[in-house]
Amino acid sequence: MRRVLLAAGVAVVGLAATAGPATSQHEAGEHAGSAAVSIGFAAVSPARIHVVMGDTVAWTNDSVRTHTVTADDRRFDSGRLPQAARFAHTFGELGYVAYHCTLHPFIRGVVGVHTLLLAAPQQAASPNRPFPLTGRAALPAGTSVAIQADRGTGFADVATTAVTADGTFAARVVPSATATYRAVVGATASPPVGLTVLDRRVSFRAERGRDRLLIRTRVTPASPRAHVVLQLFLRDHFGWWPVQRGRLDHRSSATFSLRLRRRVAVRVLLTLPDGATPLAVSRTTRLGPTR
Amino acid sequence: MRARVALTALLATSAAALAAAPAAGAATREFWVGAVPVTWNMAPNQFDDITGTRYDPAQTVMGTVVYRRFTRGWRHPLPNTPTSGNQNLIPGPLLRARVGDRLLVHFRNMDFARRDSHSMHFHGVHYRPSSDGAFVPGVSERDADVKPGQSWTYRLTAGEDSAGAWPYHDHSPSMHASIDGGMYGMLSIRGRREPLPDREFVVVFARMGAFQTIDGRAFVGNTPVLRSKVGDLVQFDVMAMGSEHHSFHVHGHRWLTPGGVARDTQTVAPAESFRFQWRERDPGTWLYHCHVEEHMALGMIGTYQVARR
Repeated sequence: MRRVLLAAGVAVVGLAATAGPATSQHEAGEHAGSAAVSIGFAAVSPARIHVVMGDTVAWTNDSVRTHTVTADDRRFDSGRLPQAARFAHTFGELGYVAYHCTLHPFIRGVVGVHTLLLAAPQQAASPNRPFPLTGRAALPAGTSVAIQADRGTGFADVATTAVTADGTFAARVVPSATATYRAVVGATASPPVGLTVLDRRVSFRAERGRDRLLIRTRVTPASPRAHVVLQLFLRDHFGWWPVQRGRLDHRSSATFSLRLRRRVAVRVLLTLPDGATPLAVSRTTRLGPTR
Repeated sequence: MRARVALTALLATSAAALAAAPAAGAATREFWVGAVPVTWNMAPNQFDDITGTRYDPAQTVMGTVVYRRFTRGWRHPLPNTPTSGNQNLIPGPLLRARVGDRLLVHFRNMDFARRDSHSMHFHGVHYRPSSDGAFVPGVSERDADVKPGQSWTYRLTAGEDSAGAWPYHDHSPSMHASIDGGMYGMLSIRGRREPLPDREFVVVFARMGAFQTIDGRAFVGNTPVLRSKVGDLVQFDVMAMGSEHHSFHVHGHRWLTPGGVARDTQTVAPAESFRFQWRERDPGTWLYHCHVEEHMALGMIGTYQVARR
């Protein structure tokens, strides 16, 4: 399949990632059957991308130069792509396909085509807390998938799951330390991905603002851009209830601001981007007016 | 507990749109609405309190696209308050008007996550085909296929037959997936001299994934906790979306149909809607839920809390 499209308007750089645990990215390179690569002035990004057999990869020329996307073995060739032009190719065979730009041969990239892929975790896990791993497979629904981990002594099964009707699979692992993971079906294995395990601490202190309470939160070791959630224990909601979400700044801190009409138990969670899967939990403190 | 009868009831069902010019003195109301990607948790406390079942975030959290109301020109999203009309993202903002008003709904597709087309299709009000927002290949225009980054203004009129609570929803090529993900909301059209209620609750029944949700949330404590106090004029705007019928029921209260019949349960089919009012007299914590038992067990239940003055 070969097509060239002139794309007017916004150029797609990398992948359009949908929030949520089921759509995390693999080396910035996979998303429900499609992936995107940006062609820059002197390089493609990402230069190495992994896809599942049957996926379509789209390249967009985001530079002012004209480029080509040409497989080294000539199985596809975009022809000349002026600025903002787009080229897409669907990969139907397993293996690694190297490509280059015929006009600037130093611009090179590789597409790895696999039967199954395990999504590279975008965030570190916490020790002995469940952590979701997701992936995709070009295999029938119901196919059993083993999730294996290697902590330096060889891969061993740590979870099993099955391919769903939409070609995805998901499993929960409970890592105690940093390890390499892969998904395995029979003799076929996905490329390995690393899962870092960090023992993080969430702390906060409450300050009185002019008319609000400021919850100054800090996470150590530093985890800039990580997700934090302020929760209150609310009887109406039958438990801990998220009232605000935020992201840590470059100093690994965040400030929540809220009004409390009555005393209530407060805590802050460090979570995955889903805002719900806890990676670390602060102590609980009762805050609010004392009457 | 003492049962009670509502003072006022208003029923709206889907009606054919009739051409009608805005009445003299009618207002033009402008709304800026965006389709925005969000991460949505159907059960933020991860718990079904009634059965004691715990749910993992992997079962309850999903990426989706919702309607959100913005300030003029889509500069900033409006906060979730009763006056902004923004609910809690699902359903989309409650768009209020009066009979005779013109509504200009400026819609921008900000779905840069899935990059799907979206639209807005309104029930109960009058409009030309260019504001229908319903996709038919070769027939419909840009109003029904608003691509990411593009915008469209839907021009609507609240006619004499528009008083009531009505659905709006995505009717673009992505409508089925979008509605499954919560791209729906309600119009609330008051009569010319009808007072604003003290409390207006929007209750949308819809399946979402494995759950049966109210306003995109499943299980008591997660579904909206509706609050009023004795003496309040309370209005419920109820509708269903998706492919299933539901049965709306509130405990300890009754309302009157336009024919004067007292009810405490009302069936609502997909895209059907109704509203009713009562003057609240009964303090306490009450339940509201879908009375299709399976739906209630899958999450379609919430609490209505009435405070003493």
